Amino acid sequence: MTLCSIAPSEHSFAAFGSGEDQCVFTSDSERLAILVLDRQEQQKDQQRQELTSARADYRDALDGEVQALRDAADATFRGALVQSAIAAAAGAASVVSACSGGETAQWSGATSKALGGLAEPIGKLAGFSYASADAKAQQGLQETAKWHLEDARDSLKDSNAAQDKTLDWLGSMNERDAATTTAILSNKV
Amino acid sequence: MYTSINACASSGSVASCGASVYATSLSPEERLLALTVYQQAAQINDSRASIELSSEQLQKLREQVKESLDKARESKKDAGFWGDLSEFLGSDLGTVLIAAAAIAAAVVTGGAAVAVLAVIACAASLAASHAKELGIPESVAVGIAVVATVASLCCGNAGGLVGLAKALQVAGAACKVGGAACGAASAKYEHDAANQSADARAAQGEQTLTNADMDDAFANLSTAVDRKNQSAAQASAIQRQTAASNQAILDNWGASA
Repeated sequence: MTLCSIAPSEHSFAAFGSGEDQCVFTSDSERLAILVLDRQEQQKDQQRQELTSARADYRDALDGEVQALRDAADATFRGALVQSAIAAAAGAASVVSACSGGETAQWSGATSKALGGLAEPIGKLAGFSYASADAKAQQGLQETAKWHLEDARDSLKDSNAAQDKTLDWLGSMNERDAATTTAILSNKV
Repeated sequence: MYTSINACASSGSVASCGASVYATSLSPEERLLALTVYQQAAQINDSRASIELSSEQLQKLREQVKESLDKARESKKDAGFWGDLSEFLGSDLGTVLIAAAAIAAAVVTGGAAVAVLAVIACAASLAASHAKELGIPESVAVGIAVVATVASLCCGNAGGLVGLAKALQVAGAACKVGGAACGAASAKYEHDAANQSADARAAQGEQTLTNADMDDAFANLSTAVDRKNQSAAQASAIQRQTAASNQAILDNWGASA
């Protein structure tokens, strides 16, 4: 009966189910119950690790999505800036064309037209990126991580329920043993 | 025993509780149950602290999301203003001025057929693109534009239009440049709005995680309370059974005597 050797910080079913501490539980059924509890506790440890891992996955995917959204915003901004710059250059060439004559007016007019026509496609090209698609992909990963979180949480619940049942069983065994003892003792000599 | 365990669990002083469990002369089963209660009490305290922490964090995150969304909305509004201005300067006003410059140039050059046709086509195209905004049929808008253009071509003062044509062309080009600059300003605000939305998304994601943490803490709390009650009830049952056994032994002794 060396329950005292168990320190509070180490108080777990696993500690009771092994080594010297098994002395607390004498019958086979009690030992079996402790083994079940121990097994469930190990499973819970594993599920907690899965929970932590799924949480980390979710956070990574979230960070990835936010970064992808920022990249997409940067790309759009870059494209708009390039388009504006080219459009401004086209306007400037048009001013030169209006203020000058002869060949200068001709080539600056042509340049203005060319730049005006190219501003939009070049802007689109400069602003092109796969960041939006990356953001979608990261959203998908987040969903997967959420499912894993849910699964781990459900498994933890199941393990807790199994432990509750085992504890109930252990309690009923104790009661039965006590009732038997009382009945034996009640038999008067 | 039962009272002491419950007092132990509800006191919140886990350390003294654990020590008292060792100090008292309890049976091994009772000590085991007392330890269980002690551990569950500690877990209840941890869960409560975790729930409070998560709750505060959730509040902060909610404010952060709201703030980011408000900023994003403001930036969108600014972007819309600059975008409209850019559209007006770069597209509408610029096109009108350049079209007017072309009209003046056509009149000055004596209304060469090609130039006249070009001006009419330009005016018709402009009218068609604005017919929807004006709420009139496209064909009517084109008709008005053609008539107005032909009339202005016929009635124009060729001598005074040389400078005007250049001025209009320069003004049109300047509008295009201004439109481009406004477009850049609009893009800047759009960029800010997108970044704010990304911030809001990050905070929403954090909210999801904090909610999950809170759910876990609630589940732990619930389990700990159940286990504590179960253990306390079990300890109580053991005490009753021990008392009943002692009573039976005493009765036996009494009968033997």
